[in-house]
Amino acid sequence: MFGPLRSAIDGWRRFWLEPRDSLTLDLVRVFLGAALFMGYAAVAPAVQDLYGLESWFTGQGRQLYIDNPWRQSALYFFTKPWQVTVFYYAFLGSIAAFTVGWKTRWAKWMVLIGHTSLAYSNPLITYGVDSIVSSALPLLCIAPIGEHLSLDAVARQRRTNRASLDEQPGASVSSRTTTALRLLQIQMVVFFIFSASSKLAGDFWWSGDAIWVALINPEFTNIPIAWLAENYLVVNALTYGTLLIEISYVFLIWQKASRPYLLAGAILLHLGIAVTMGLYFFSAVMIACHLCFVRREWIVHICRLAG
Amino acid sequence: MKATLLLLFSFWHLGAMVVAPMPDCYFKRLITPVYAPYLALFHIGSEWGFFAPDPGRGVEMSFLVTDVMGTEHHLAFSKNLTRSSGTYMRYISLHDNLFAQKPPYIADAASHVCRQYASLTPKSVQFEFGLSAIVLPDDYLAGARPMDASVLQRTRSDVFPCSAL
Repeated sequence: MFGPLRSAIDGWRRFWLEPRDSLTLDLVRVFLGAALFMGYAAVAPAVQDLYGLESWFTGQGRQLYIDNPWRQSALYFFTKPWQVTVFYYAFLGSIAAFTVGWKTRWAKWMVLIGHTSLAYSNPLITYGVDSIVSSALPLLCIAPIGEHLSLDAVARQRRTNRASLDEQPGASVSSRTTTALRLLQIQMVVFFIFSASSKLAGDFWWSGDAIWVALINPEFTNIPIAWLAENYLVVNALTYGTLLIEISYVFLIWQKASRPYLLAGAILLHLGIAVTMGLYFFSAVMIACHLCFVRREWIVHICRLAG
Repeated sequence: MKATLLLLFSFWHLGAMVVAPMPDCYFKRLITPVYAPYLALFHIGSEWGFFAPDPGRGVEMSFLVTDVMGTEHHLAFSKNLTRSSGTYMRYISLHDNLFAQKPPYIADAASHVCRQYASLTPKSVQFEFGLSAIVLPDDYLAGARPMDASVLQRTRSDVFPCSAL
């Protein structure tokens, strides 16, 4: 009688807690770090205008944020413009360290604090990408990342080599890695559940026109769209294709057989958003987060093929 | 002990993931105060409704700066943004957020404009927004554009005196 129940509990515990190494999360770290570096380095010329003491968000609105003890930013404590500049470049340095896996144990927390601080220092300039990064970073912080694809791993290998030429550094596994990975995977599924379900409430998504309406918005028009107007079936196909990927991802990304197709579909969807709408930072962050569904074996296989 | 803590954290964080984007309902109103500090601390809380329920229309922002002599200066903002610039999406978000015209935030932005154009000795600032039209494919091929002056829906914000900001 208790057999199936015990089996279900064991399965549940394995899903959340079976120790694993951090290779997949390190892949996410590398891509997310590169995307963050690209996104934040690009605003360097306008740091003071966007985040400075005399930015667009400095009066009563900012005070409302400062007064909330849970919405805190290191920038609220700065009184000189140079302090903002130093903070910004220290943050960029942290992202670089996070990406290459140098002192990852510390760098990940610095990136989390830096990102949250900049987001709260001027919420008027935040958009969807900031929320996605905010959702992913705490999960990477709770996991012991940096054991693979990192300078930390290279340094550890060298130390081990010095100790003994034959010895390999032990691949450490952790339940925290599994928990963080599962939460990140579920986060991506939750993202698509709400993204798809809210689209289903829109007339343009049902009529097949949504992609046209999005691309005709001058804020996002990044490619010549006259040919789309002449070949409107493509617009219909892209609109329904977007819905199809978002809805099916929720259910089929978990299956071993269908995962590669859904992953490829989601990555293509975001590459398409990058090219057609110019949302490069958003797309790069989304693709990095989708990589949490890459199986360890695939990475090992690709690494072997690459020699 | 460690396993139990991890499971408890997982359940807690799962709840946060789901509560934040949930549509307004009795359960959400009941549970949000419990999660609000956690969501705020980590800047989690998007509704994930990108381009939903329908993709939005474009916004064009400009300023009407009146100087101490009473002369009006119409200054473009959106038209001066460069598509290839790394700051482009940040400034697009800025004018999209200001378009909502929430009082303390738009006043903050007005004070920024007063400082930015101090050389004009501004007396007051007003924002002007133009909401683009949705142009049908056939109209587009015939030459219509979403930002054409004839179809742009223009609105103006309150006037913000620079001395009070």
